[in-house]
Amino acid sequence: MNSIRFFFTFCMFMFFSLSYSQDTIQDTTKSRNVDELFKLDLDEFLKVVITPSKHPQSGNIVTQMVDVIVTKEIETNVSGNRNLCEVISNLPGASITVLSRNDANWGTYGGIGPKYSTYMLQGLPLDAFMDPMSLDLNIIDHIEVQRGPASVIYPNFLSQDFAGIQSPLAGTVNLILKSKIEHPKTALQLSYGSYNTLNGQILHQNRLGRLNYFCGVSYEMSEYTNYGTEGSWLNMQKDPQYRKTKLYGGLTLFIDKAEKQKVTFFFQKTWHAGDAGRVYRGYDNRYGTINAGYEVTFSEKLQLQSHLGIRSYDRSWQESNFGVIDTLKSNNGVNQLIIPADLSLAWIQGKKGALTVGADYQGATYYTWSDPLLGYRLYGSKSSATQYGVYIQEDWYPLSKLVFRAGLRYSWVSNQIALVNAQAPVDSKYSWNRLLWSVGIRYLISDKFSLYANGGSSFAPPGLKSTNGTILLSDFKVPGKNGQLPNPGLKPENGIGTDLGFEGKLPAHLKLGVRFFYIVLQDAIVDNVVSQNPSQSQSINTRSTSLGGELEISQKILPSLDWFANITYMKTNIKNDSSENQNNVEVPFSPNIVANIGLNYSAPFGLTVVPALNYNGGFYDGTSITSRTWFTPGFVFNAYLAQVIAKGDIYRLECFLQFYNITNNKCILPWQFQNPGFSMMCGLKLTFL
Amino acid sequence: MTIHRYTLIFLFIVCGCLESYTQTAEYEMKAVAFEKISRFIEWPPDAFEKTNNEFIITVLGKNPFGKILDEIYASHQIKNKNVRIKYISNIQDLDECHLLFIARSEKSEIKKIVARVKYKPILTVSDEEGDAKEGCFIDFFEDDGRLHFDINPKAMKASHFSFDYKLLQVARIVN
Repeated sequence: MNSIRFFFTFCMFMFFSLSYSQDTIQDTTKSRNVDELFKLDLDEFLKVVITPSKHPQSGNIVTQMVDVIVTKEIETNVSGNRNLCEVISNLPGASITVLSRNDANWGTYGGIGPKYSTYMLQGLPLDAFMDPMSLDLNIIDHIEVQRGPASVIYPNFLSQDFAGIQSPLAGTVNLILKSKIEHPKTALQLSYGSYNTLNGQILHQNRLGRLNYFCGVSYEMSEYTNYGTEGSWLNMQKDPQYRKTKLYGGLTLFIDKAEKQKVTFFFQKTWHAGDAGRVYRGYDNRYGTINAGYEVTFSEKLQLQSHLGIRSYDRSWQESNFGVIDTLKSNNGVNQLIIPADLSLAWIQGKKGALTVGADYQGATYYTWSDPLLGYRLYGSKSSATQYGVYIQEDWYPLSKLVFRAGLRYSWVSNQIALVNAQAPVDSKYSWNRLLWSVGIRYLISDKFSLYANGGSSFAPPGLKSTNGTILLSDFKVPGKNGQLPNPGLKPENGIGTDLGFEGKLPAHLKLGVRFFYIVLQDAIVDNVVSQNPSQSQSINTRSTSLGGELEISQKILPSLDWFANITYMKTNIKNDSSENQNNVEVPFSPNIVANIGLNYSAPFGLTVVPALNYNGGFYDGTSITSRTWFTPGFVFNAYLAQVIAKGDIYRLECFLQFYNITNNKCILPWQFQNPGFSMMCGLKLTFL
Repeated sequence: MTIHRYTLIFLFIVCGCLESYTQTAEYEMKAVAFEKISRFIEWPPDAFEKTNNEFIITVLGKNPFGKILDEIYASHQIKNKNVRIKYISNIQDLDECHLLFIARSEKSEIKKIVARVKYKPILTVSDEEGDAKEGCFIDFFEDDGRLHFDINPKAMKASHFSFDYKLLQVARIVN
């Protein structure tokens, strides 16, 4: 009897399984996935990457590990803090610590501190602290995240603000702009959510002959909420309101029919104004970004690229005397202008090999000011910095299964300091130069498995803010004196980053990756929190190391369903023989463990569900054993849901929900900030195709 | 017994899903790839003279696409031309065509097929990795769950096709 029942069950499920298979085939064929595929350009369709050597290559045959975040992943990202860094938060090794919607990310990459993974726009450097707060996600076609050292073909970013100069020692995040518009589109998006937050976005993209363009605007206003801890120096007396407006546009003009010459231009202007929870704690930040480029293909073997950028950062804020009635104490500001430029030539050799040679330049000016209600400005710091670099890199394929890469960069940096803490310094000019190197290898064991290893050096002089601070040394622990203490004796830092990894493709569309990294920094410049209230930091020289391993797995179960999981363990150490109190301690802001798990489901009837869980095991905020604080962000669970509610030949109407921090984890963050917990946004998106 | 039954149920469902995925995702991608690749290829000037502004795809051998090609190209164009799909089982039946897709069932016949279309304005695309070395212009292969292709630029040039350098950058080049 049991045998008969088993046979009957067997037959039933054979029938249902086969029927299900057949249904899935038909559903998928008719699904919107095909239309989406037609919209992709060839590079995205085949997942080609450009970051490792500045010319297009298959991601499988470069020595470095490169993650590609495509448009759909960007669109379904839940950005609770309105920070572009959150898009990469699910990648192995990334620790994202965005302090608030109005503040920067102090996370780390590869466990070695917040300033060793640079950000770039189309290969030109950006500020890792400020630009992710300002750039609009709608401008981005896709993001390439290169794990591991990238200091030979990409320069440092000469920022003097926040944690100072940033170097691509642990990796780089390359934001690739929309360029060739395959299909015209106009998208209108309106959403409303927690903290009385209203967000509106308009994007238009089109192609007119050889001219491809996109333009748009976004606006967000919010009453937000208190993001300080109880008793925080932020002393909020009301909800910290803000308004953020972004205006952007970009064009790509193919000069000839064969598309061998290309001119590109992009601009974005961001206005971010509000208050930090008190009447006289207003701020008004303005960021400007320009990228212009010219690319020409002389022949199948020879290509030239040139890019020029402008990055302007104008931040101003009020300081007040905190009391029952707040009174204005001073208006303050930081102004920074950085102009990066790059020229590179790629010579394709044989079937795949390439020699890349290039030169780059950066010029930066920086000043801080204060207006203590005297009617005129007092300048605190004034400086300029210049950087030149020449580089050469060879990708060599001696065998079809073997790739070698080697490169050199000669870098020269100079700082000219006119004013420090409102006084002319004794030494006003510093300059440094270094020869950097980079090597890599990938061996394709088979079509499914490969091994890779990379190594590279980096060099970064101290930033002006690190050496000269934003407050005086005598302000140490003086109430109301929030900022960075000076350390004029800081030395430049030299680093070496290495990694070793394995990539494997298993049956059933499973992908497995393991990567180990070791990073060492001599004279590492580390930001050390020396006081919580007043909020004060100071940069110091140390020897920092980070040793870690990443394990990741992903699977595409169906064309419409995939999942991923990853875990990164990091062991960091700082050696500082000069101070027992700061010796053999962990690198600040570097967690010992980060992990992610998530899935992406798109139903044939237009439903999209993207939940993601992030875990951060915790980190210290400083190097001083007696005064540092341990923070445990723990679990943050986000989810994106969308449903197409109407669709025609030329339009699509979609409603969406973004849930941030679903478990309402109000974890304490450094500098007496606090995650405000759960928030959500609900909206409509109307797209004309 | 119950455990075995539920294991069986689970396996059938999973196998059903995976099998359907393997078939649909792979051939959806390949069908779309025809259009993607064609963007970067220029056919010889007289290639479209006799075909009334149509782009003709011919599938040779055991059709792995099912109805996918017909359904996709009912609403999409290649090189701004409407697409017509033909299915043949023998290379001798080949007539007007711009893109010849050679199914895996024709693996043993590849040299004969290549010889038959040599110097004609027909882009040959094989479903079998390694056929580009045999003179086929393009062959598909899978790696990392992604679609990739080999390209034989020498054979393409011999048939008066021209192509954008970008195609060579994203393909594996043979010969």
